[in-house]
Amino acid sequence: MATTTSAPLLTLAGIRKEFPGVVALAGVNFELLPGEVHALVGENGAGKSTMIKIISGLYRPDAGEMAVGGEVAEFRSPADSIARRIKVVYQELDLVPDMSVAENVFLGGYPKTPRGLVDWAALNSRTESLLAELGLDIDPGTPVGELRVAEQQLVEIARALSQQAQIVIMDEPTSALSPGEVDRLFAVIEQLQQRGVGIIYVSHKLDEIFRIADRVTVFRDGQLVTTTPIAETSIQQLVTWMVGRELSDLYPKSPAVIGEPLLRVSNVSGPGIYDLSLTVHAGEVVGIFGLMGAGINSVGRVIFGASPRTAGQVTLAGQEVGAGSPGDAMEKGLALLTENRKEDGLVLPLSVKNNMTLASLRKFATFGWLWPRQEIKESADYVNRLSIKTPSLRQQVRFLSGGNQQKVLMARWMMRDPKVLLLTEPTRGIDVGSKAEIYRLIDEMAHRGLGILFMSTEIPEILGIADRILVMREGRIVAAFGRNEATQERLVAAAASDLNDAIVEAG
Amino acid sequence: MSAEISTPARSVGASGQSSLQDFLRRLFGSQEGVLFLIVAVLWLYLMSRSDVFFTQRNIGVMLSQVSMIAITGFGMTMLMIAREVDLSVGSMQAFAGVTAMQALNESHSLIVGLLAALAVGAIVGAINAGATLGLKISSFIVTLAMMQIVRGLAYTSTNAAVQNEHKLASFKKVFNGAFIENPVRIPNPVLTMVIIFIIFGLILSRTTFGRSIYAIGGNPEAAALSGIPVNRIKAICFIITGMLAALSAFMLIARMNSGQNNAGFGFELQVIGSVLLGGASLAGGKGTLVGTLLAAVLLGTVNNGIVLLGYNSNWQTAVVGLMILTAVFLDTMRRRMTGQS
Repeated sequence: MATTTSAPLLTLAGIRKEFPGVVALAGVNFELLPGEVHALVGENGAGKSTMIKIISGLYRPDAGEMAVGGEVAEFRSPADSIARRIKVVYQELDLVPDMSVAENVFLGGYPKTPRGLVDWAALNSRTESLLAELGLDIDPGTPVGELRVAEQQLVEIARALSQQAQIVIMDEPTSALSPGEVDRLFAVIEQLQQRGVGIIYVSHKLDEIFRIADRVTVFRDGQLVTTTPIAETSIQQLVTWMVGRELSDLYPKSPAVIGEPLLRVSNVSGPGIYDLSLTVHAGEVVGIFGLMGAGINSVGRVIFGASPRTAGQVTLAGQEVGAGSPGDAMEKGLALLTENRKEDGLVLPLSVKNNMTLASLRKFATFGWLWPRQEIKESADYVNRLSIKTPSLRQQVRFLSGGNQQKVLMARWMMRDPKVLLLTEPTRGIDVGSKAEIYRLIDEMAHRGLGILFMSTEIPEILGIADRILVMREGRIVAAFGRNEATQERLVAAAASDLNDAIVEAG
Repeated sequence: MSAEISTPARSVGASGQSSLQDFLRRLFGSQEGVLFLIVAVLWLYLMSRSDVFFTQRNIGVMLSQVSMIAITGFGMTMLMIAREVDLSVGSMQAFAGVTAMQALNESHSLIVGLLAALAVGAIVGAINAGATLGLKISSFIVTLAMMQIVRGLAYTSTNAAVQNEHKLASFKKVFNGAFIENPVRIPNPVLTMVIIFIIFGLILSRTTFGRSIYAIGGNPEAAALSGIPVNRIKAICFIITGMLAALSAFMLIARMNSGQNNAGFGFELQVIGSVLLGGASLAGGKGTLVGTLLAAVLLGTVNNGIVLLGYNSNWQTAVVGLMILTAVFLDTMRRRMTGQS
C-alpha cells in the first residue's frame, strides 16, 4: 500500500505538449509515490499516451519540469528514461520471440564470465530466481515466442526487475488476458508494490482499476481533470469526469420485441468452432461470451464466409447462405464487424467517406459508374448520426481515434441495411464514450427489427445489452442463459472450467 | 504504439481558409503538385537555354516518346495501386512488337496487326494474373520470370528483327502522323495517350472498379470482407497492363518501322520509376494517373534536355535510377512525417 509519507518517485510540474493544431497536454501536475499503483484513465486522445511518452523519453515536453527521485530529469531519448530506472510495458510487447526467456530478461546486459563470454549458468539461474520471486513457473530456456501472451507480459515485468526499475508503466496490460491470467498479473503487481516500485497503470477497464489502484488520475482533452484516492470515488463518477457529462446509462436497453427467426445456424463447424447451432430472431440481441481463445472470434467469420465452413448450414430469412463467400452472405443480408479494426476492417489510406461506402458501392452506382453526390450525402448523414469526430469526409481514416474508426466501420455495415449484424468485440480498445455510442446503436438497430449476434470477452457489456447469452468454451456452446438468469459468476463458471484456466486460477 | 492524437471536432465540410491558400496548400502538399512545379521550372529553364526546346516539333517528338512510357504506366499505376507489379512490360515491347509485325506482313491489315499485339498483351497479362493469384506467388517473382520467358519468345520468333514487308502507307503514321493538325499538331501517340488517360482516369476515380482497386491495395482483407472480388479485379488489372504495354509496343514498331527482338530493354524500369515518382507506393493503396503522367513527362523532359544541351546521352540511363531512388525517398519521408509505419 502507498505510504504517503515517503518522497515521490516521479513528479511532473506544469508539463505541456502541443502537436500541430492540438494541445495534447495542457500543464499537467502529477506525482507517483513509492509502492503506489496510480491509474490513468481517459478517453482515447485525452492525453494519457502523451504523458507516458514524455515519461519514457519518446517525446520532449514543450514546457514544464519533470523530476525522478527528487532530481530534475530531462530525457532526450528512451535510453535516458531507462537509465533512471523507468520501465514501460507496452501493449505490443517488445520481446525477441526467437530468444529464450533468460536472454530476453537480461537483453542488453548479460552476466559475463571473467573471460568476457556470456555466463549462461548465471544468466539462467538469475532468471530462474527472478521468475520465482514473481511466483512464476517458466523454464528460462523456453523461447519467448512459445509462451502465451500473458506469460510474455510477465517476462517483460521480470525484465523490469532485472533492470531494477523503480517506476513501471503498464499500458492496457490486461487487454489480451483471461480472468485467471489477470489475477496472476495483479498478484505480481502487488509483489512490485511491496518492493516499493511505483506503478502507473493505464486501462480502459474501470472495474480493474478499482481492484488494484491506490489513486486514479483522470484526463480529458489534454487536461488533467482530477487526481483522487480510489476509495473516494466510483465508476459512475470516473465516467462522468472522463466524458465531461453524465452518462446516465452505459447500456441503454429498450424492451426487446422479438420477431421471426432470421439467422439459423445449424451444426456449423469451421476453424476453431465445432457443431455450432443457434438462432437469432428479428429484434433480438444474442450475445456469445467466451474467454480469449474460446473460439468466439471465429463465429462471425465462419457464418459470414470469411473463414471456411467445413460442415453445417446457415440460413438467413429462409434463404441458404453459401459457405466461404462473404459476397453471398452480404447479398442475403448479413454484415460482419471483425475484432481487428486495422487488420481487416479499415482501409487506412482511404478517406472516411470511402471507408464508409466500401461495402455498398453498388448502391451509389449505375453500371459501375459512381454518383459522388449521393455518396457524400449519405456519408455525411452517418457522420452526424453516429457523431463521428472528423474534420471532413475526405480525412484519411487513419487519423481518427479508435472509437471514431469503429463508428466508421459501424456506418459501413449500417449503410447496407443488413437483416442480421454479426459483431465481434466491437468495443475492444475504444473509449467509454464511443462504447456507449455503440451500445446505443446496437439497441437502436435491434429496436428497428434487426437481429444482432454479439461476440465478446467482456462480461459487463454482454450482460448489459444481450437478450440471450450463449457461453462458448473450446469452440463449443456450453451454456445458455436468458437475460434475467445470467450473472457474472454463472458466465465465468461456464466459460472458465477448461483445464488450463483452472490451473492458472488455482496457482 | 500508435499516437493517440484525436482530431478536434469540427463540423463536416467547414473550412476557414481562403480558396487561394487552400489551392496552394494542396499544390505543394501533393506529389502531383510538386511534380508539376518541377516540370514547369525545368521547361522554363530549357526554354531559356535552348531555342529548339519549345518548338512544336521538339515538344511533339518528346511527348510522343513519353506517350509509350505513360500509356504502359497508366496500366502499371492501376496494378501498383492494387499492390501488384508487372516487370514483363519491357520484354513485351519486343515480343508483342515482332508478333504484330509478322501479323502485318501476313495480313496487310493495320487492324489485324494491332489486334495481334493486344492479344499477346492480354495473354501474357492473364498468365501473370493466373500465376500470381492462382499459385499465390509474389507478382514480383512471377513477372520477373515472365520478363525472361517473354524475351526468350521474342528471340525464338526472329533472329534480329522483323522487317516491314507490308509497306502499308498508314503504318508509319501510327507514330509520326497526326489526326489533329489544328490549332496545334497533336501527334497520334500523344492523342492516344490523352484518350487513354481520360478513360482510365475516369475509371479509377469515378467507378466502383476504380474504388475497389484502391481498397484492395490499401487493405486486401478489408476489401474481401466488404464483398469486393479481389482476385477478379487484380486479374483485370494485370490484363489491362499487358494490353497497354502491347499498345506501346505497336507504336514502337511503327516508329522503328520494324519489330525488333531486343526492343524495350530497361523499359519496365522507366515505367515503374514513373509510377513510383508519380506518387504510387510499393505498399499499394495510392497513386494517380496524373502523377504518373507528370513523372513520365519529367523523365522525357530530362532526357530531351540532356540531348539538347549536349551532354553525354548515356546519362539517360542513370536518370531512371535516380528517379526511382528519389521516388522511394519521397515516399519514405512522407510516411515518416504522417507517422505511418
